[in-house]
Amino acid sequence: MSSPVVTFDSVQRWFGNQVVLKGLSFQVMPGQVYALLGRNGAGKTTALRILLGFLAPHVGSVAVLGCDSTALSPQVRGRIGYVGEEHRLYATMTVAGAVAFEAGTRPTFRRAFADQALQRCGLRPSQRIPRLSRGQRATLSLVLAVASNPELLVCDDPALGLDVVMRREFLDALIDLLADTGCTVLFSSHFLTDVERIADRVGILHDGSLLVDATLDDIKRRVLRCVWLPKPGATLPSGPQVLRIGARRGGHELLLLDAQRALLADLAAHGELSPPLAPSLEDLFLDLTGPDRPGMLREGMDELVARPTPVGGQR
Amino acid sequence: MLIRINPQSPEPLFEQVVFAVKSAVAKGTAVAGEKLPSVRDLARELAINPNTVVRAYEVLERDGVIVRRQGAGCFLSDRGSDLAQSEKKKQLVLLLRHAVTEAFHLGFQPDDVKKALAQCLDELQFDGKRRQS
Amino acid sequence: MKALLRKDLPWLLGFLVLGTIGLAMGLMEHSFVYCFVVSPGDREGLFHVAWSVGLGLGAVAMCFDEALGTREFLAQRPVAITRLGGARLLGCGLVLLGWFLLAPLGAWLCFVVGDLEYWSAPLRQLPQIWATLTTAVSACAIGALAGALPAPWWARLLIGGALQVTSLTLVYHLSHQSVTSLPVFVVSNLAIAALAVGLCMVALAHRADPDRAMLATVRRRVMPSLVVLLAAFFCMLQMEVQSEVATRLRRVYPRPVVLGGKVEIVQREDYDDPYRIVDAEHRAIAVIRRPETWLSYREPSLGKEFLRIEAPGSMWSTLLWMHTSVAGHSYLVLDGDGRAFWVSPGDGVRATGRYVTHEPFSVGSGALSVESGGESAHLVRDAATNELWRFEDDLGHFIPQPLSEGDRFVGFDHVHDEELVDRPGVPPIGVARNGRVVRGERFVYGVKGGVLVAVGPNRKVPSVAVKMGRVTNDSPLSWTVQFDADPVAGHAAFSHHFTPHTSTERKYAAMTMGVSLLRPPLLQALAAVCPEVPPASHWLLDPLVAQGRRWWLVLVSITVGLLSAWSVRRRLRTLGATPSTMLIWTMLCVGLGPFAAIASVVCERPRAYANRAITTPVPLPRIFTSCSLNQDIA
Repeated sequence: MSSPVVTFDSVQRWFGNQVVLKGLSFQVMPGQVYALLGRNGAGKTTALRILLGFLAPHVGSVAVLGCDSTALSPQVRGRIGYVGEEHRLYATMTVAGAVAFEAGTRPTFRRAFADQALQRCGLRPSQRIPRLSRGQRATLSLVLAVASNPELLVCDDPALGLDVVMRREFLDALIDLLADTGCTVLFSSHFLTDVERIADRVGILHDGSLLVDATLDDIKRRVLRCVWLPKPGATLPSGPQVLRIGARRGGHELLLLDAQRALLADLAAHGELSPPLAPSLEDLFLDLTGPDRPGMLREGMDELVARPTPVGGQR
Repeated sequence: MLIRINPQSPEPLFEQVVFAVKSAVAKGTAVAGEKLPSVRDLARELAINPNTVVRAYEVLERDGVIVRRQGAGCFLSDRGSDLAQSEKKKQLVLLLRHAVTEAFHLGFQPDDVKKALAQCLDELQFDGKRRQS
Repeated sequence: MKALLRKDLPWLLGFLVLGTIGLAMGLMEHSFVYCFVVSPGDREGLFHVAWSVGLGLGAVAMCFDEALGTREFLAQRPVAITRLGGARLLGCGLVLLGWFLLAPLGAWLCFVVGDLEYWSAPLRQLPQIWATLTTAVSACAIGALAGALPAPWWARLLIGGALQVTSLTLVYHLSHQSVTSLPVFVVSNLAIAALAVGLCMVALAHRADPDRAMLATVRRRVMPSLVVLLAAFFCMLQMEVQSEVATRLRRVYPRPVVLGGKVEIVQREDYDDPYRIVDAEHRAIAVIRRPETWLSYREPSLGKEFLRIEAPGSMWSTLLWMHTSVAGHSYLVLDGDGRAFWVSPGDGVRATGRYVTHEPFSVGSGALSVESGGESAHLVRDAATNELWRFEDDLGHFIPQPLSEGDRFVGFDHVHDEELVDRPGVPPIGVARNGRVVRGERFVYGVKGGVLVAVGPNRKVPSVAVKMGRVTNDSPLSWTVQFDADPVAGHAAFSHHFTPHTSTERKYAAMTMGVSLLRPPLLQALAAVCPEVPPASHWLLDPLVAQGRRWWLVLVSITVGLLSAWSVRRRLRTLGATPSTMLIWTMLCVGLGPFAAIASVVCERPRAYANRAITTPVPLPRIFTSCSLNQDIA
């Protein structure tokens, strides 16, 4: 079993007196594509900045490629690619200048690859950085990060502000990278449809800690969503199988985890039950983090801790 | 061979890919010896993670639907499934149980299920033999 | 390295171009001639431009990526922080090298374009110009150090400014005795630069986290000692301010002197406001613009000055060049090495000197010019021989100008009425009352027919004409000027006690006392009980409260100290500080006053005491896939 590429170990971080991360723990395994989701201000950017050593965690630690994030050596940094949120580049440079700068500061940079990729994306070397559109800047940032052949690629909301076409371009570039090198990717995003296509595993960050840290397949298999209109006198279901009960016209909206047949039959017996379906990632995200939702039920949590779940193949 | 998926559907992506290949074989639109697209091409075509395609191909190879030739790519197998007969039976029961369970939740009666099954078999012109080119 | 310099190109080029222009303009201040022919010292332009652009260069070099928002874009690269800092410092070095070469070249080009005659002038001055430019090197290193400090921007600004002032002062005191020593100036600047670069490399390796509390040992041990040191520095600043204000107060006071046998009120030349004449009860009698009699005098310095931001200035001598007209708008210039130059628009700079061979004068010689009756003569006094040399326009060099038989040169002065009595055999010449004359031991000399002639006996030696009164009870916001009755001079006893009355005087007095209130209460109390406070210790002991004067000021500052100690103690108790920490800060506040209170607020942040770590276990993710199984599919 290979060791994880990224390990967050109960990381806490404050800004002033406001706590942003309340003990974030997760791991990214080699070759995995991990999507960190969350609403604005949930702490995604902070987590990624801590990972890259730009911020120090106040409690806990982060290990990247076996090295503590607060003391990343140049060698380890050379194995990490980073695409920042704002796609900062030096405004005085041209595209060719940015490529030259990257080549001069990263020993593993593949110049031919970068030139080819930029040509494919329609970026001319003589274009000046300030004249580039946001999408072009994002593409350039990604190409520059990918061209160094990183073992770990960290992207902070790479698709933000890109149009649909540019997003697909971006996705293609990422897919090429994954197909070519099999590198590990950790990225945050707001575009859940993209995440559903590309991610192996998602973490939903809310209020400083992870609500969800599971593979997409696992989520689709284990989580069910249904609407239940109870008969008078019926009691609300509870227990570890019920993730959330939301109000719904004349009834309740249930989010169930590992729902057993008995529970479904019980619900169907005590009211009208819509066919339970796996929610899309967007629905799940909305249900878990939406503003007008009463939040997840926390009772019975302990029984659920780290239950190994067989995945795939088994029917 | 046409492979289409829906990322939003409740089915895991790799299962959709597996199902797409298997159904193409079942429908006869794909013939034995046909080369499957490379992992990279398929991933780009579907805009999904190459890992997912790799997983789907692994499952297909294990089920004997495709064979991998070193350096040449993946091809549709012309042999029968490698799985033992008992295993196959188990899998069939599982598949049908899945369908029947879903049907129960949809509120159908056993007769409806039987009728629907017969209809599906008709549609596929399922005669229990793998089509040969 | 090349790539790192490439991205720094904007500030490299910007500082190279703007700095060169600024420095070249500093060199050309007033007239280009002075800068190259005369040591730059007398013109502080170059010096001040040099340290300010140097400081800016260093600070911008270190903060460039931060200001641009590309700090993280750069920090993620596999480049060691030492290499990053090295590249920035290399860039600074290149810009400095550019300044050293291009600024003199640019100024020279500008001048040569104006007049080809000057083409050879600059070469001789290059060492002095480069010596002055070493200030830019040390300032650049200090700017880099301040920019690299792991502290918020305001702290970097403050620390950078304080370090720069300290460095300038240090260099000044090290290199300036009576004459500034060039090697000491250069070496001390370079040493400061080396030290700052070393510290800068150390500082670069650290990053500040404003959300993390200071270490307890640093807070309890290091910070209080640092606060005491800072308080000492602060005392020095207060003394500078106080003495400056007190000097201004003295400047507005018209001084009574004995002049010509009468007690008269005289006034500084540069004071222009009208005077209000009052009687003993301070009722206005009259308002006059300027007293009839005037005389320039120098106020006594109040206390020793510590902080000097001064060009290596008077380095090359105290009186170096004269600014006088010879044949129209030409100038005679004498530099610190005794070399003389004759500068005229038509002929450019020409070396001149003694005799036709143009021998230089001794080092430290002074130039002077004598005017009387519309004529003038330009003289140089040779420092070694005490002989006078007069410049001869027609010859274009200096010739000896002997005084009368047996007379020796004493000084250079104004002439007084009683000296203009007729002298047998010498026709009276019109010497204006304010004309300048040469004073020998026996005679006073004016100009007649282009040469020096004795115009009267020197009656001013010993100088009894002007007598300043005795100043007593100098407190120093009020004082008494006294003259004892002198039957010989024929004036009666006179005494005037000055206390601030007018609004200007009161304003200055209030400012001085306001500064005094900010001083450490402990030192104020010490000053109050001290029997004598010499001027050298004015920075430590306030002359305002010395010897028990103005005890209420001491009382107020002690009260302020106690109040701040009380409030600091209260704040620390609310925060939950340990008794020993509270004791340290209370003592500091009692001793140092509000200054320590501010320091305690900066050092003791609430976050150091808040138990912020969340100890309750964070709930595990509700939907969770074990990491060990998710890849197992086959």
